[in-house]
Amino acid sequence: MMRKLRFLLPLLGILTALGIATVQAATSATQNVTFSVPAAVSISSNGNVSAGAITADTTATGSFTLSNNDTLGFAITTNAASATTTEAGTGCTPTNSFPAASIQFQAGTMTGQTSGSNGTSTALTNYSTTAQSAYGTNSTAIGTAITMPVSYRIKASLITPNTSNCSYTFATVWTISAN
Amino acid sequence: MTLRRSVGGLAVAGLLTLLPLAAGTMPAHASIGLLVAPARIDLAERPSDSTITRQLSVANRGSGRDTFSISAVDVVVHDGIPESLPPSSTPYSLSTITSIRPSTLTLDPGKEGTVKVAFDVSAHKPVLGALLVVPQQQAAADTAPSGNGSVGMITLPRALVIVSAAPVEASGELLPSISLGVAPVTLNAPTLVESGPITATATLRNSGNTYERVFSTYEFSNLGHVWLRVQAPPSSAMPRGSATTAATTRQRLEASGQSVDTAPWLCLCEVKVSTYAWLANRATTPPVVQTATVIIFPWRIAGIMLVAFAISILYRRWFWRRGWHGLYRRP
Repeated sequence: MMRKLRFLLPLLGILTALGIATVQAATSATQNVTFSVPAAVSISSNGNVSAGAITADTTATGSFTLSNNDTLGFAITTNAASATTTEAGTGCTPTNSFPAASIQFQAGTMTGQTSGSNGTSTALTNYSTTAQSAYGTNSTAIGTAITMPVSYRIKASLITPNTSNCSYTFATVWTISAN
Repeated sequence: MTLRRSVGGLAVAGLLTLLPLAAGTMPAHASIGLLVAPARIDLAERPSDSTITRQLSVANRGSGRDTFSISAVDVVVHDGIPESLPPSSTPYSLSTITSIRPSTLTLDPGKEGTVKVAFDVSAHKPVLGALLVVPQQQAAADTAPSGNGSVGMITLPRALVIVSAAPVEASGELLPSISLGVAPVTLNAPTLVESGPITATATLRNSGNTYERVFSTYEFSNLGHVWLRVQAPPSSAMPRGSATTAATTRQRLEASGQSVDTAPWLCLCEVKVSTYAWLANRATTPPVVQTATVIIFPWRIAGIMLVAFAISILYRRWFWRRGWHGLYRRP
């Protein structure tokens, strides 16, 4: 009798487990959730930069907020909107201008990323109307609020002083593109 | 000429002196920004395709309502860096085959809009270009310097969505007329360094006949033991153009966000770079392999230790020669 029980009890247990699994299977349903996550990049200027009235070479700083969700990274380029910047202002009779190369840019070390690598910063580079890479090697930083500091070196000695009521506004273009 | 320059310089200096002193730089707070998705579009033109459509999402990441213009531009790539050109500038022009509807989006802050982009691929030829998304510059008026003799910068952020396409057969293979290929040019890595990090830069040439993306994997090993494998940020190149990829042993820790150098302090290292070209979901096989040997040897510390060892040997000899060792003999 005991030998029969020793054989039957495990068998009964297995059958019970199978039964529970079958009941559970019968009362569950499959629901697949299909979605896609496209690679996305963003760039936001954190405001324009006013260097004020300058009498010597001056460094002005600004920043951008970037976001990226792709491990392949992104490139940042910058260029001057025009080859020559002419003074302007209310009551200004523009006569002076300066070439884009009178201003230099340098992108700093990114902060705020959750993973990935920073781009390699380059030395101060003269602006031109041709897009130039802001980093020596592109960044693979991933995050929703990556801060990219930038410095503008204004070479006052290369800029003609303004006429009355005039000031200079140097327009820069910053472009983000996925690798 | 020298006199004129001197007089001009003096005049500039004098007038600049008259200008009020700068009170420090002051960033303004108006913000312009945008997000684009997808960030990149790679297409395979199948024989049955005459038009391929995609959607492009644009979100306003600025602080004010803004209008975004979306246009198709041509692109040329210099060492992985795209430069946008006016429409119809290249023989593989994207702008001539692209229609975008609508071509402008006006969005409140944080809002997102979508445009439909249609590519006429009936010619079944390689195409390269980009969708350029430009916000209307609206913050300039209230942040540009308004006083006398001041300088300010206005920044216009914009996004470039690279679009590449190549014709493929029904099986998905590239047409025989399209060839991909990369040829090794150089692998720059230091031969002997005292310590890490090691930075390696591989330069390759596009030996194919079309634009291609270039992907490199860097393997750092010590006496055959691989201790770091890194996927470098991809680059891209035009035919006969060069592409450069780079990787370093300095890696960022996911947990703390700090960077650490993974290079060992003593190493007979080999840097192995495996690179393949990619276009329209097809990659070149086998990858092109470049190798370089790097020795990490802390020669300054080793030198100090060697000198210290030599001094101790000399001292022992001198000590024993003077016979002072007898003083320490046990009775």
